[in-house]
Amino acid sequence: MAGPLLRAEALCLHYGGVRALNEVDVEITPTELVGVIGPNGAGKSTLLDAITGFATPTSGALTFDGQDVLRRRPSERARMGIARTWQTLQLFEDLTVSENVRMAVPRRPKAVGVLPRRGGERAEHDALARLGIGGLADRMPGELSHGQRVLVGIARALAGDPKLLLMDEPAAGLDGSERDLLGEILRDVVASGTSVVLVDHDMPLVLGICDRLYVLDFGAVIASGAPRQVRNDPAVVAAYLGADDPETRDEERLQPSLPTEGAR
Amino acid sequence: MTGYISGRRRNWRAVAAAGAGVLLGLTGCSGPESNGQTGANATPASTAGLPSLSVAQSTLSAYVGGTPGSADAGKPPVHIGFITQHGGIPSFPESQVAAEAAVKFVNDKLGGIGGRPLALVPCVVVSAQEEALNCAQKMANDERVKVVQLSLLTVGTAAVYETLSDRKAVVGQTPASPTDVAAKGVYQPWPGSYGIQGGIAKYVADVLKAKRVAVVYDGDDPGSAFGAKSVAAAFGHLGVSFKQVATQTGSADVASALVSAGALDADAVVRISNTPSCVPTARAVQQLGVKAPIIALDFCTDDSVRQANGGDLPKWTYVGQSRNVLSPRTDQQAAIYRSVMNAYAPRAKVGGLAPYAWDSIILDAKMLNQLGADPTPAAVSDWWKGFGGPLFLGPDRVACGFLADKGLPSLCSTTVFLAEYQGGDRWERSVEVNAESIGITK
Amino acid sequence: MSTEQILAFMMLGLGYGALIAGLATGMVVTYRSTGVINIAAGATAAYSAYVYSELRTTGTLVLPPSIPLTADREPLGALPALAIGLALAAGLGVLQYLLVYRPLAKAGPLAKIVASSGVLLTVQAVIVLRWGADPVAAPAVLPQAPVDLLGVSIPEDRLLLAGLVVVVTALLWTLYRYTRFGIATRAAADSRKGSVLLGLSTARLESANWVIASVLGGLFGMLAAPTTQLQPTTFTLLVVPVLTAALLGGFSSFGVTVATAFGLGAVNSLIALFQGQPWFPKVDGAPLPGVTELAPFLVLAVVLYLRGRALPDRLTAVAPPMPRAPRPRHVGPAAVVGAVVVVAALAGLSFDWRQALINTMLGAVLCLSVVVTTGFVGQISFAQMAVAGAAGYVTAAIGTDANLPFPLPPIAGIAAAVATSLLFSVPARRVRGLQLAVLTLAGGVAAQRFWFGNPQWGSGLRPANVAPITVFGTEISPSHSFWGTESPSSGFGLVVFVALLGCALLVVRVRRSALGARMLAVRSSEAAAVATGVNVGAVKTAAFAMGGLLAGVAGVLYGYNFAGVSADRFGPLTSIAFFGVAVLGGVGTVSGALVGGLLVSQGLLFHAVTTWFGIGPDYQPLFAGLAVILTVIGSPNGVAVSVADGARALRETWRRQRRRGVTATGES
Repeated sequence: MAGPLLRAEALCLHYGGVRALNEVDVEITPTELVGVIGPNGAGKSTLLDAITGFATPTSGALTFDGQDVLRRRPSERARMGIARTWQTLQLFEDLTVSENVRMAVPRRPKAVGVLPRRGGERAEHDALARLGIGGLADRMPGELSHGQRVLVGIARALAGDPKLLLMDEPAAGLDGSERDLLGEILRDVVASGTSVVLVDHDMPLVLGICDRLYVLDFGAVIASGAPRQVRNDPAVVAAYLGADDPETRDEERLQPSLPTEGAR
Repeated sequence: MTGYISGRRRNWRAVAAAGAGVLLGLTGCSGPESNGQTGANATPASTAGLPSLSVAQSTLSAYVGGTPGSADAGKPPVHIGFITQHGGIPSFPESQVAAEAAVKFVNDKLGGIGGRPLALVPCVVVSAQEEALNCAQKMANDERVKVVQLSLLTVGTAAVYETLSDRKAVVGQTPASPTDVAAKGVYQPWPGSYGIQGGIAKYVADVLKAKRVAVVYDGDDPGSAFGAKSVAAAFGHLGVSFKQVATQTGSADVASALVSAGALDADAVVRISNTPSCVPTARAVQQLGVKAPIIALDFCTDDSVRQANGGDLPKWTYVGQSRNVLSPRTDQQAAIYRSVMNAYAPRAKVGGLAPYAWDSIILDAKMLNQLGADPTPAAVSDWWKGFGGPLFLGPDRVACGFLADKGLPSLCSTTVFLAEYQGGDRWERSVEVNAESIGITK
Repeated sequence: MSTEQILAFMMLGLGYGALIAGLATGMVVTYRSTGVINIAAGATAAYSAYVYSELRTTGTLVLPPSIPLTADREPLGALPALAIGLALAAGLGVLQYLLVYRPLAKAGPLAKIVASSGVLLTVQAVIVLRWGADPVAAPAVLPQAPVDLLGVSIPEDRLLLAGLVVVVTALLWTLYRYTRFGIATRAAADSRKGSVLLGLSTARLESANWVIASVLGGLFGMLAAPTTQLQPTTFTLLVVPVLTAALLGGFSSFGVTVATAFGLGAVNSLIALFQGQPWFPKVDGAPLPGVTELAPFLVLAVVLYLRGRALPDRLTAVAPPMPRAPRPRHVGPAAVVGAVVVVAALAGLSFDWRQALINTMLGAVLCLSVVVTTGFVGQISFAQMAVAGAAGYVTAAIGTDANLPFPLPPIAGIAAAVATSLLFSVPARRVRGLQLAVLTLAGGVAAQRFWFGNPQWGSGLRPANVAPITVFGTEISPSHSFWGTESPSSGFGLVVFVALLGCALLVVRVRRSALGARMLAVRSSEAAAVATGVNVGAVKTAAFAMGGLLAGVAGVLYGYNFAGVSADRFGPLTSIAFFGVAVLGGVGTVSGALVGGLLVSQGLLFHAVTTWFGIGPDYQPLFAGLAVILTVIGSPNGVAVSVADGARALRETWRRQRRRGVTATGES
């Protein structure tokens, strides 16, 4: 496939006087894992919202798979192959794990109505098996551990066989081994042909698995490139050093060697 | 930390105890206020100079065709079902009190029904249609009850008529809804808000000689709104020009409506409303300096209006379906009613719906004296159809069903009594106006 | 109609506007601090006003226990009475917060608004029980001498009230903007955790805010009561315009809220002015009725719709839980057992119990419609009562006025209900949560006033009687004997049962279907549903249509049961009370709706209480109110789910014990 899978050009998004996104250019090519990092309030989640359609950019252009999607509704974008997860997971708490996943399996046309869909079960089973949580199919989300819930969220996002998966802080709250598993899963997802955009504060994870990084600060891209390049970028270091308290942890993680941090 | 928690527990316990106290207090103190017999509800008008009970006895025993003297307590009682509404919103506790006073009086002085004591089988509707339906079913399933006397109900009347139809004789009282007016085979001796408007229009045109009239009514109350509509029709026929404007029941802002309806330069102001709108109207009239005479419904003679209006009623002309029971000095029948109430329900509310309920029982006694204790529904219906009057507290002539061709088959009368209040408990003698049909005066 | 006249009329509306503004600012305060839309604000203000008037007339303090404060029932002076009234309002604020809203701090908007309706019902019931329905006179506090302004004379108290509102608003604004208390309140509202870190007691802050709100309500209640006569519903029903003002102020801006309140006052007055104009639409010579109620609702609907978003806000926090909606189980056996029990009951019970059973089944059908719209899709709609009303009125019109034969009237009625419900689904696409609750409440009132209670085309002029069901010349109605049963006939009972069974099975089917799963997905997370490709708008529309269908069936059956429809049934208070009962039973499940049916007015439970314990029907509203509050706090999933959970837990304990017993015997 020629050209990028997703291209955002000069995206701007203003809430009142706040510039949540300022002339942001982002490009995602097929089958790559792209990390987006930056201090809290840098506009990372807003960028995901803008790409998925939950926030409407004030100006700019957005193309996905060669089509202009800026004015498309989120459900349409979802059907085109843009999937996402949330930091708060947003699982359907009243549905079983398998029902959660089934919700995202594309419906065959004209299947609207009361009758249950067939054929979906296979895709749903695959999505669960792929993440190794096939045994949880009949459980309710409320009964699961946080790590398992994160996996259910990812399984649901993958069930629609998306071309692009956007993930908002999936590693938050995971322990070391869970994080390693998450990294493996993401690499595997990319290998199977889905591009992934990973927003996370977990620097070892992001730096360890991503092909490319974008660094946001105050709604603007201040750096981009391979992890090694970005880590040494003076602008990035400055942004992280200048950040408020909660973010200094990011800065600490950014500098020292990766393996020890990852074992924290 | 533990201190904090235990402290909070203590607070909770205290709060819970307080809550329980509130509830206990409530159950202990709610009774007497809601049965219509408190001093606060009594009319301050003096009872001196009322005719004696023996006058009442002789007059009313002649009226009902009974034998003066008391009923034989040993004989089986004649049961009358009585469906009435109180305890919710709206509430008419005075109906049952007055009906019971009338029953006691009939048994004590008028010889009951052919010597058998009359017994009331009351059933109370608080506020729900379901309760009205229950009452009707209770009556339908009560073998003792042959006649069901209704008192004013604002809910569930369709279910009552439907349930009792062909099973029990039903006697209406005063209509409160279109269902009452359209009920088949049931007659409403009093016109209610569905029959008084023609009389008002005629009074305004003929007695007050008004050319321009302002009409202000409670738009959210179907009865009042119906009144406004029919009074408009009546004015139209009489060639009186009018403007009508609606307010909401109890709204404090009546001034806008009065001004908008042209009350400032009208010859008369007609205010059709329920009790809560009376005081705001009085205030607005005073505030605007309205000079024209005010015609208001007798809902406004309630004691709450008197209290809120500085201890006296506004000096308006009040429209009643019955003779002016607040002024026994100017009306002999009203005086007799007051004397009976004074003896059998002292300190009870004599206004509101009390006169209609009281008179209903007197009329039932008259009817049962003629038909016997166990009349069929058809016999009762025919009796009313043939009954030409008089109502003891009402007009001399009634003609039940006379408006059947106008879609109001159950009305018996459109006569109203208008009494001008002069303040200080002094009333002009009331004017009886008989509009031959609603809204159309020939 | 000159400009001066228009200005003059706007001035005349000041008093009404001031009262709305006073109550609405209190509502903003409680919402900002605790996220509660206090629909009981009017009722509690009325309570203070009643207490004040009792003190001023008999010198007795009513808590409700009566405490005489003066000898010989001497009236108390204005200032001490006012002070006591304010203290009582403050106490009521703290009490409400501690007993009701603090335990609900983590609960969702549904629980909070239902709890607040419980408070409304309770306070209202106490007022009716203690003071009755007759209007009560309230002696004036403020001077009432007329003042000439723009050619009209306005009583001084209106101007003073309006001035006071402005002063109070300025004070509130300053308080919340600049003082430590105000900043802390806002911080706490943003994040409870944050304020705990700052070392602030959220409980103390929140109760202080409740005191402020309650005192404001009490103050304006007492000051405004003398402008009219006090009736139990006078202030309670103001809740709709008050909510309108607070909602248009976004439940955050005092300025906009107060301005809207005065605007509503002015509009109210102006409608009076317009009615006197020759161009005002007239029906049979009388001005078009219901405009006063309809106008604010339309403004609210349009503004909320335009301001609303098709998408939910960013999801930084986990949505508070809704009552659980487990998959229905054992449906077949339950239906068979239910059928046997109901048929036996209809054949064997005495008339009063038969009627109570019918009332219960009718209530359960209406509760089912709440299960679909609120339980499954999470749309808090108070309009179900109005939707049922639409069905009842259309059935009456088609059957009695147009004289069309069965089954046309009920079909038309149900169609009308579906249409009405779909009308409410339009704003629901863009307005959510409590805003939708307020909008549907206002819509229900507008429908009741403009349509049902309307003298021109509601039941004001013509009786809205419902002709009985007649199939092949046989009448099946409550009063027509069947199987030897007189009113209510078992035949009608069977009709109601079949309808209930059909509706219940339909809801079960929906819950188990893919559509049902999508409904629950929308309820859990609209955003995630959208992101997984669910057409949220279509799901909501489907739910409202189905809710309309069920409410329509209930409305038609109500019409048959009472042989007619009456507007009272569909008023705001009945809607609020009914919604409370539905939530009490449980809105997540079909069994919850059946439990809700047991609890409706004159249903089986109340009939049992009345018959066996002799508790009069006048106490029912009080118990209903208290029951709603207690259930929302103690059993947020509703009685039905709690009972099922309890039974399961008991079964498990028993099984475990038996197992232990078995091992024990094995060892011995």
